[in-house]
Amino acid sequence: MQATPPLSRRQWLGHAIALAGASGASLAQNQTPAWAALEAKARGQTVFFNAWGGSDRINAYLQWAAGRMQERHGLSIEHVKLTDTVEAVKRVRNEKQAGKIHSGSVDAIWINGENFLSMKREELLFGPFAEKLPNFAFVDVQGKPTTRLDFSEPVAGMEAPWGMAQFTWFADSKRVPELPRSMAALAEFAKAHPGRLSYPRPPNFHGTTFLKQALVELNADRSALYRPFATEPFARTTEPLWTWLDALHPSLWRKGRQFPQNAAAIRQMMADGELLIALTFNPNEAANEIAANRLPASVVSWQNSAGSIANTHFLAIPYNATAPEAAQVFINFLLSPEAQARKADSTVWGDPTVLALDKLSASERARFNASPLPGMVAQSAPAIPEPHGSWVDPLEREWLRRYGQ
Amino acid sequence: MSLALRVDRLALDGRILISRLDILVPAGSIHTVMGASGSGKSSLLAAVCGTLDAAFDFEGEIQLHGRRIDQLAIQARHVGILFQDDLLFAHMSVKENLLFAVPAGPAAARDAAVTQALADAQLQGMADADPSTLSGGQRARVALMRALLAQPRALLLDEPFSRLDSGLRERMRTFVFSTLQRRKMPALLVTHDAQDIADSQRLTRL
Amino acid sequence: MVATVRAIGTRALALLLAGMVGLPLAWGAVSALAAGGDLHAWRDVFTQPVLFKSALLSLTTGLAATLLSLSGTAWLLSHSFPGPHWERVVARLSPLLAVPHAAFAIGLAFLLAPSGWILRALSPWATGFADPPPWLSTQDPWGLGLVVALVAKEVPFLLWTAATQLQRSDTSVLWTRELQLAASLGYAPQRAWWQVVWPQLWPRLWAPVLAVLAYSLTVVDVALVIGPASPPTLSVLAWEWLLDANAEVNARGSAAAWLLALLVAVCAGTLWLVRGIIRTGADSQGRRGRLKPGRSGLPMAFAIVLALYAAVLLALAVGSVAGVWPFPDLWPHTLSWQAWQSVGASSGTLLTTFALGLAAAMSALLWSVAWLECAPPRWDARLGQMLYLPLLLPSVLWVIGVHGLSLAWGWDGLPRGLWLAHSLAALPYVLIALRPAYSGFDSRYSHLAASLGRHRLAFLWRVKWPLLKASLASGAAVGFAVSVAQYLPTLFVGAGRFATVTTEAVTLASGSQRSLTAAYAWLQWLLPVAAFGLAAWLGKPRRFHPGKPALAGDKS
Repeated sequence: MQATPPLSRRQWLGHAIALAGASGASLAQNQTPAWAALEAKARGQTVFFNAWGGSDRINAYLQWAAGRMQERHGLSIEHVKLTDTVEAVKRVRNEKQAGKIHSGSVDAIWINGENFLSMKREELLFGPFAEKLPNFAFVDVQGKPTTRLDFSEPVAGMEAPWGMAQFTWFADSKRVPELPRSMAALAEFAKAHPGRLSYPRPPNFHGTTFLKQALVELNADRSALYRPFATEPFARTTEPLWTWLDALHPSLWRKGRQFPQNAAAIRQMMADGELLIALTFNPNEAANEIAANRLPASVVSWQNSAGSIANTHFLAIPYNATAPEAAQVFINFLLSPEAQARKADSTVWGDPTVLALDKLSASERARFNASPLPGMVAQSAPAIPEPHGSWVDPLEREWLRRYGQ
Repeated sequence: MSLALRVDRLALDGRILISRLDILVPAGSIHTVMGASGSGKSSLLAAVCGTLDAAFDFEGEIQLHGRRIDQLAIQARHVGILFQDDLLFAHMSVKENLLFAVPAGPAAARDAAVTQALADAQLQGMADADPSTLSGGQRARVALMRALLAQPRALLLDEPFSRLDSGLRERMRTFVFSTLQRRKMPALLVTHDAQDIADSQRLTRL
Repeated sequence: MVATVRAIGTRALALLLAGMVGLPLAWGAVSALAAGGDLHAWRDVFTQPVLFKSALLSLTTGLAATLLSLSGTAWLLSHSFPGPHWERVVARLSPLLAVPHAAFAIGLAFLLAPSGWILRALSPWATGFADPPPWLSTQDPWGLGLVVALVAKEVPFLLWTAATQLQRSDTSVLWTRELQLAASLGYAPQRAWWQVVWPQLWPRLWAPVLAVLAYSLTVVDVALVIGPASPPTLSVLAWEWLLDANAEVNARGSAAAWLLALLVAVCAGTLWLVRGIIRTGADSQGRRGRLKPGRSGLPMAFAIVLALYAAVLLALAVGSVAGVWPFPDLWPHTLSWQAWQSVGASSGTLLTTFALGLAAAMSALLWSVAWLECAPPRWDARLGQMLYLPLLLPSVLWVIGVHGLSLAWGWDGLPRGLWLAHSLAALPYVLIALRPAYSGFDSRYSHLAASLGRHRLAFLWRVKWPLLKASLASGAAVGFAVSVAQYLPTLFVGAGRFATVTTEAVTLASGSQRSLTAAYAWLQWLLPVAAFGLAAWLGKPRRFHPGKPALAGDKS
């Protein structure tokens, strides 16, 4: 048993309250009169859930969830398929500008990062609601601090955590016998295999994360990254990044003059053999693709051994949602062990859970029985938190200025 | 330069229109073919000219100036045709319509031929006119001049006067027949009107 | 007295029709105009370093695609009209027209890509490649792939519009006869075509060619799939800016879309000025052209187009069932029906697409027929040009206008807003399909019917429309196909509430799963093909059975 640092009185108190709250919540789950009243009000409502619709398996998972909601709570879920979350953000923003306070067209939205930041700042969100949800008690707020801190911005209950993400690579082990486990090794790999590596074009979020991972690895002192953006620290911190990219780009696909649109395009090119390494936020994506017969079983996933950027993705409710009660009931269901276990199942979706397994009962923990499947990450790397959200836009703009043509 | 036409069989979808027809048209004479509508007169002309539709079945022989032409393409036969409709090209002026027909050669000579043709038809001032502004008689004359400017070796006339009123018809008939005789060209005229008969000695009734 | 009342009634109806469509069109145009009115945004646009290259790319690819399609179409026509080849070409046009632009581009990209089917067929025995070569065969920086995709789609469209003109009852016989006359004057068939028929046909193709020009300059989805990426064409750039989260960037996008519209106007103006050259007048020396020996079968160029379409559709079909499929294998290692299963599960989307397409096509058809019947020619000449607005404005710009309109009327997110947007989009195409047939219709039929004492409506119902039913049916089919292919209007005006096959296809394309994208592309094609097939069946001329044999003694 390892020695734990002595806790201060404040921390003790905090832990005690959390423990009491957790046990209380697990006992009183769905029992509080306020929650029961909310569920009653939600019956018969329709939730327009705006979420990226580019993945068949995610859409299928949401269909399953919608079926459960209809059975148990009598409310219907409409999955509004987006090509980009920003479409829904704009819609809510336009409605606010047009003065539409009630009956908004968006009831729930799958969101994180800078989109959350802008919605929170512009007061486009309903809440705080997340920590009042009964199933929030199971969320692993200690082990997974990003469930309360979205890109270093305090969530403050304005969005509910849904799943974990960590920057992961995957490749066909037959074509890539030696896996590069750091950005420096990746640069060496690129030189050895010119034209066979690429990353998505920023401002695509996978591309931006590639830049952030490099930024984190190239800078010994990362403290500036976690403070709000300021011009001088930005210039100082990103200088090694641009130098590194200038050296890397000539070895990339199409000599770094052109970049694929998104990570999924890279995955398809990897499957075809045009590129050698693909990237993703879902550590179980490769396993899922292998199970679905779209990638050969020789594909493996790995993360940079020194650490890999991790974040959480969330669910939020706009300020003017037509059915905020039903939205909360829906989000609560998505936080339940049943829904989280099914989501984490690599044959269904494979998205890691936000719940703390030790807070669950034995039977519910059993649902998360993850037998290792081919293609899963063998050894999880330490999670590096996302830099501050205000760094995203300047980073993208600078990249576009330098390499956008 | 004579036109010899022998039709053993001209049929459409198995129905025989014309059989065992033998016509010899010497130079400068006009042979008239008469018949009721549907008797195959226009098809006969099409067979001579080369524009017969693939649905027709033609067996026979056509000779122009001793040379067999029924196996040749339309362009190679040097047989002109005048329809009921004058078919003046709507996008070309009168002069351009006439110029279109003149055989290839140096531009100056072609222009001269067109000017002469306009004079012959008494249409001197009409060179740059839009064909749609001309009267029926003027258009008919331009159509005839156009057919003649191509220097055909024979001319076919498919009811060329039926669209004209009776007074004009008389004048046109005279004009056409005299022009053809002067040029010593064999011509085959198809009509249903007995008054159009050019030469009662050279008449075929279908 | 009765005649005057009828005339006034007709005028009133025409006025109502004009208002029904003119009002939304004008509102939409003004909305779009207002969106581009921000001077700051204009300044912002011109300071973008990427602007000049993008605009140049748009110009070159758009003009090249238009001129190549036009000359290709004219050349094909010169080699096939009016013989049996022409009939065969026309008969094969509708399945080609039905393939949506984006689906075709996806299939073509798959054929041409470094890991595409053509290279797989040739590797490794011919090319020696074990891995996909680093060639720039798709999304090339010069836009060649884009031009190929556009030309392959526009040639059948132009051929189809030329067919509507060539099949008009007044011109088909006339022009065939004129060609025969020219042949008797010694002209080879192609030269006769260029000098006699083409100058008369070309002015009537002005509207379709303008539509092709506007489309080629402003296309977004095809350029995304197969066009240049860094920098992209101006239309893609405007689209990206319009969809950005930042409102300032949106304003920049509107200004860029207006810049695109200006480019279209400039190109159209230039084309108008040089249209005389395209007419090709007579050769002053009267050369007749050489006679070539007769060909059998379809013209070679058309056969190539057909082969290309077949290859694209086959590539999409195989892609849709492909599981694991590494380079350089010609066929997939494993097959998977998952993509088609998910297509089957999206029956709700299919129903929405079908209902919307039917409603839009029917409204566009009804309106066009009513307009062509009632509108005095002067009104048609003036308002008629305005009706082509959805066609000529860049789609990114037009959709801003329609969205503004639907927001103002409160039809945003409602079925009727979507119906309006789709009907307005389908209208110009239906008009292009119907106008020639209507103009070519012999006016003496109506005089005849009137002289027989028949009421005008009876005449329409029993004489005119049955005679025009082929054009009416194909007009409706085109309207349906246009509605199925709408993406941006459904997205904006539908406020995300409505999923059609196309929006699903585009969203799934962002997940880059080839099998799913290909399956949806096939679905996008099958719907209009069914519509065109139905139209062809409905528009078949009536078959007359031969009469009873004559009685003996009746020798007439």
